[in-house]
Amino acid sequence: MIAVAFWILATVFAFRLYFVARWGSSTAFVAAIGIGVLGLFFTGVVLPEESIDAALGGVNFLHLVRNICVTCAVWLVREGIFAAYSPDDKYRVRFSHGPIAAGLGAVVITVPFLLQQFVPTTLSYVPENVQQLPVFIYASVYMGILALLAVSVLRICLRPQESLPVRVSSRVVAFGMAMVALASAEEIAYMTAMHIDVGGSFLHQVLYALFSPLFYGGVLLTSLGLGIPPLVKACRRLQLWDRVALVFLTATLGRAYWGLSRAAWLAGIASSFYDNCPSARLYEYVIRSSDHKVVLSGRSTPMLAGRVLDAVQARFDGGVGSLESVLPVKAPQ
Amino acid sequence: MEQAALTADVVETLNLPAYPDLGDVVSAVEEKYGKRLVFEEGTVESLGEGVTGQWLDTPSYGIVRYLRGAKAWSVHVVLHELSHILLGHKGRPLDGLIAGSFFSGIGKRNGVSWMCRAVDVPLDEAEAAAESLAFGLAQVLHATPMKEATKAERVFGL
Repeated sequence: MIAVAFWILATVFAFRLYFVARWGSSTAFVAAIGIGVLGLFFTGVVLPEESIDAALGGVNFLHLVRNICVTCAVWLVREGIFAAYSPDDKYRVRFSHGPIAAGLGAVVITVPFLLQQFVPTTLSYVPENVQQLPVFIYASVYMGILALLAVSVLRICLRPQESLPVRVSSRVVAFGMAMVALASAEEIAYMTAMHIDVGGSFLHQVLYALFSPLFYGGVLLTSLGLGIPPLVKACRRLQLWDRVALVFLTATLGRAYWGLSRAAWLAGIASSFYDNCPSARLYEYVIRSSDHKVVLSGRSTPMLAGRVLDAVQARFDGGVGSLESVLPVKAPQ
Repeated sequence: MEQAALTADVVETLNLPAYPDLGDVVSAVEEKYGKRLVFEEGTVESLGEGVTGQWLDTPSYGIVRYLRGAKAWSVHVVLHELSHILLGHKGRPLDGLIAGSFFSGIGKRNGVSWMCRAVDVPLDEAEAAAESLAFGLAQVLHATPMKEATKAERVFGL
């Protein structure tokens, strides 16, 4: 799941960078996604954790760097989402949105980490060292900050949104952040149980096992949510739905409607993929379809093609109101 | 002049607003035409087999008849007839008894001439030009209005 989250986030990051470079799109979330990718990279999905940690001194500094990256990424996501959803900029004056708060967060995570008795690189760093008070405080503070940030993002993501892609995106991010918040709270419970040695080993194992699916599932959903707007933008720019509809209509109706030869029909299907204005050609199909229904063959259209035509036609028929309502129909006296 | 260029030229002269509706197009055509236009829903019986629309030119006003169908299609029929007016076409002899070329204007009977959008015959030059202009006008009519992006859409890069 961590690997999936990493590759999805890396793909979203690459897309985002492309859109910024190619079309000058918004740079919001690019830094957050980039740092998130870095954070997930440090989980050992590409290079083994031991190798990366060895480069940092071999005493689990990778754990701290990764957690700082994740905190920073969530903080930046939160800033981007507040910038998008807040009706004004008043939220910026709040302490939690200032760079001092971000810096302070990094400090309160780092200080206890530095006070521990360092041990060699281990993949089970927290379970093996949570008995150390500084490690317990370090990991709990980190998880607490993450939970607070996640809840903050979750709350603002649930506000009503006018735009459908933004609404879907924000709901998916909200769900992801809810999972992150839950995972953080659950991890604090696990570390507390381990630190003060309450509950049996079964409870410890269950709490430990729950963290990864919740946390990385949340990261994965957040990545997917942030990937929805650029995907929608790409579809809009490429007029993907129009092209798909045009290819389908040309394939199913091209020969019947325009009397095309087999070669011309195949060429028509191929050209539908890269037509400059697929919408204009769809309009031709809509008109031709009615020509056939009303005046020409009267031949019925295959069901699926008919549904596609209906969907396209609804777009061209426009809003409510009859033709008579916009035309001066009354005969002059 | 190529049809696409002719279409663009005619659309340009209409001075339509950025995102016109059919009413705007009709008003612009009336201005060019110099007469009022009235619209009537026709039937296969009144229009003739295979005919979807007519333009009747009378000394004081013009009548556009269109066959009832899907809204976009009926609008297209209307646009086709309006295109004949914009392209300065003259009427075809009403009953086909009076010889005359397509553009001659001969054949007006009692000052009435008309043009059809016939779909069951190959389009001749005038019909092709009118149909091309109708598609051009439809493109203007169906252009998506630029909706101002919400703050969230801008931040999300939509």
